[in-house]
Amino acid sequence: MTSITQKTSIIALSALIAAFAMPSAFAGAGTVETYYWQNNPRFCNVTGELSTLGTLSQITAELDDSRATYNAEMNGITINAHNGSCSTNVIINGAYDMGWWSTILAQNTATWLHPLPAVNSLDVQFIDFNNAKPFAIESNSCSWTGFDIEWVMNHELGHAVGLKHHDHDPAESIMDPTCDAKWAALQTVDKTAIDIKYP
Amino acid sequence: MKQVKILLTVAIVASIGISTGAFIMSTDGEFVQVQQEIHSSYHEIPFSYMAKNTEYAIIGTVTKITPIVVETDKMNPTVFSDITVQVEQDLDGKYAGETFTVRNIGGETRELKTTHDAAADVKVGERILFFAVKEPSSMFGDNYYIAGLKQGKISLENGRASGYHIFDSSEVDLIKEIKTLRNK
Repeated sequence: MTSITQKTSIIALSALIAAFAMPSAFAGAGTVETYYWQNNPRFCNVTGELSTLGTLSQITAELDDSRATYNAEMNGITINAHNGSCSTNVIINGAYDMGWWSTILAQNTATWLHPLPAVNSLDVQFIDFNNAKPFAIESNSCSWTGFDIEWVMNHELGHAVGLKHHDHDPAESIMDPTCDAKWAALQTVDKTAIDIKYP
Repeated sequence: MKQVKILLTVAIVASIGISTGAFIMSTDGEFVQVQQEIHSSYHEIPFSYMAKNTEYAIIGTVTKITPIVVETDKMNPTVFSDITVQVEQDLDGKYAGETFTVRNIGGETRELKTTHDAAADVKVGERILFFAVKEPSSMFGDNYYIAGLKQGKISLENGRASGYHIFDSSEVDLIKEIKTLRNK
């Protein structure tokens, strides 16, 4: 197994590469909320992990539906379909056990070198589902017996493209942190935020 | 050889980073702290459900928070924190120990800082009430953790209780309510 120090070095190298690639105006930014994809990223689905959530073809189709939702709004930036490569410029989708009682459905992980803004969000990000939770295809609900996997992906992909939680009340946003019917589609406030981030 | 490569990598990152002004190194130039921000989606657990169905409901004062780096095949190295609580009261009266340790997600070491938006916000010296559970197959390992993460931690101060589900309640009334729920 790779040691923590080695992985830290790998991340450091990724950050170095990204630092050279970034425009100077972006390099001056200092908080994670400014991150965005400069190039068209692609999905990398860790199929062995995702298969714990249900039938793999159905799960992949649901993730692709969510991808299409964002592609329709990002003004030229396109998240491409899974093509088997997991090196750079990817959103890696997987699953592992985060505990039922944690209440976590899924999470997006961005890593960067302090104080750079989410360098790896431009290069590699992770979206992991909690396989201790029951997910369902087209359940259109936040039922404890089957959380709609596309709804959950809609929320997490929002994080991946650089949106933060909208937890002010009333939160008419897909970025409401708790599962809600609003996760079914991008809301007006979300589209406005995406237009600003991807003009 | 591996250590030489690692040191070389860090040195290159440091020198180029400083020269380009793209990022700031530590003053001794020996390390860069990696920061990991985790944004999650979650569902709410009704307070009554949590109060009734968790393994422990503990009241106590936080005496120590120890960062633990956890590395598995399924995730990046991530910092968790072991929170040590001086137990004042177990609402079921079954816990015999003087301290209780729960694992929280998020924390900071010299090399790595992890933040998680669903984690319980806990400080040393804080008096808290929390619900604890254990799920050994989860990322928390064979350790107790706070049920519902931030949903399962309640701050107690000056006779008042507040938390994710509790806006501002009498501590006495809340404890009475929880005991009633747990005895049903």
